[in-house]
Amino acid sequence: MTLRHTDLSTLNNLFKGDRARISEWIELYLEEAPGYFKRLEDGLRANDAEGFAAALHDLRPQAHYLGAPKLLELLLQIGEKAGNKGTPACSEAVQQVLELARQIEMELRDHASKL
Amino acid sequence: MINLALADDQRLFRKGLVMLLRDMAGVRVVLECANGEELLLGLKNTKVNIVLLDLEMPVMDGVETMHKLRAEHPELKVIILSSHDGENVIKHLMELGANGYIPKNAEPDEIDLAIRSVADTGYYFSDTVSNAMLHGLVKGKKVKPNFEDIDPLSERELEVLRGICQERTTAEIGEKLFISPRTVEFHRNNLLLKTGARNTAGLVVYAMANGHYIPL
Repeated sequence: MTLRHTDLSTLNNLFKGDRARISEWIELYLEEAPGYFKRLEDGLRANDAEGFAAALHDLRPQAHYLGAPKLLELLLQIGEKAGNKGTPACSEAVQQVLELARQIEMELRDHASKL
Repeated sequence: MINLALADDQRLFRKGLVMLLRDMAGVRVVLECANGEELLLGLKNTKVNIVLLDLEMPVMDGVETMHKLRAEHPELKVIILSSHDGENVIKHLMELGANGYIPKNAEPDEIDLAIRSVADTGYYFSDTVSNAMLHGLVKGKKVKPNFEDIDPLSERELEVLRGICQERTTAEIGEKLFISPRTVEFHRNNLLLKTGARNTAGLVVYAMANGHYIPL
């Protein structure tokens, strides 16, 4: 599987090409990320603007490290929309994020197995 | 050996940073915390030189933690690690006594430089932050220094002040001015007394606000 949604050059640069550490970070992401996305979903479901914003805030740096511009763009759009129109207006965009996150997860698992 | 504490609620970010710091010579992470409260608790039993402090944390955020650190551990050096690089936020943190500020997406080399600079000279601010400060303090005239009643700084004190702004260590300043490190420290203390600054970062603010130093 080729990397369609991520570009690991940021991680590569961060860890100076050390494959073991890149792999360690990816494993950590795969372990932690579901919790971040669940908080986003929970925030939306409960119309909890604060929790929703906190989840977005936590997810953005991960999108940066993963070199996932589409994910980052969606997260930024959601943040703006939530600010202007409220959390419930972000339902569709959150579903897009969750779908994209699933694809990124599959991509990373495949990539990590080859490192 | 520089003992570091790291306070950030994002476990993934924290672990990534620990992985980075693992390879830096002379540096070790001795305390990892998810918020300010955990940090203050941990500091009771752990010897720490520098704290890398996130701003947005649950339970006790970075600003409240800074207040408490300055009251309870004035000797500790604090580097703020955050994605907020707004002029006002930075200025406020400096007033609270932060020794440095680096963005969360800083390159490993910059993190390394910041830690060593804070350990050696007592402060570090990235170029972005220095420019923001310069813009706000000098060009925008948003901050009016209230140092009118102080004795004027001597030529030697100004030389030491400029050396500090150029991120030189005490030894380097001494070498450049042909004076001993102890004399440099003497002038530095006088500078603190005369300007009312609380730390080296405050001296840099003073120097920039009064046109004694303009970063290139």
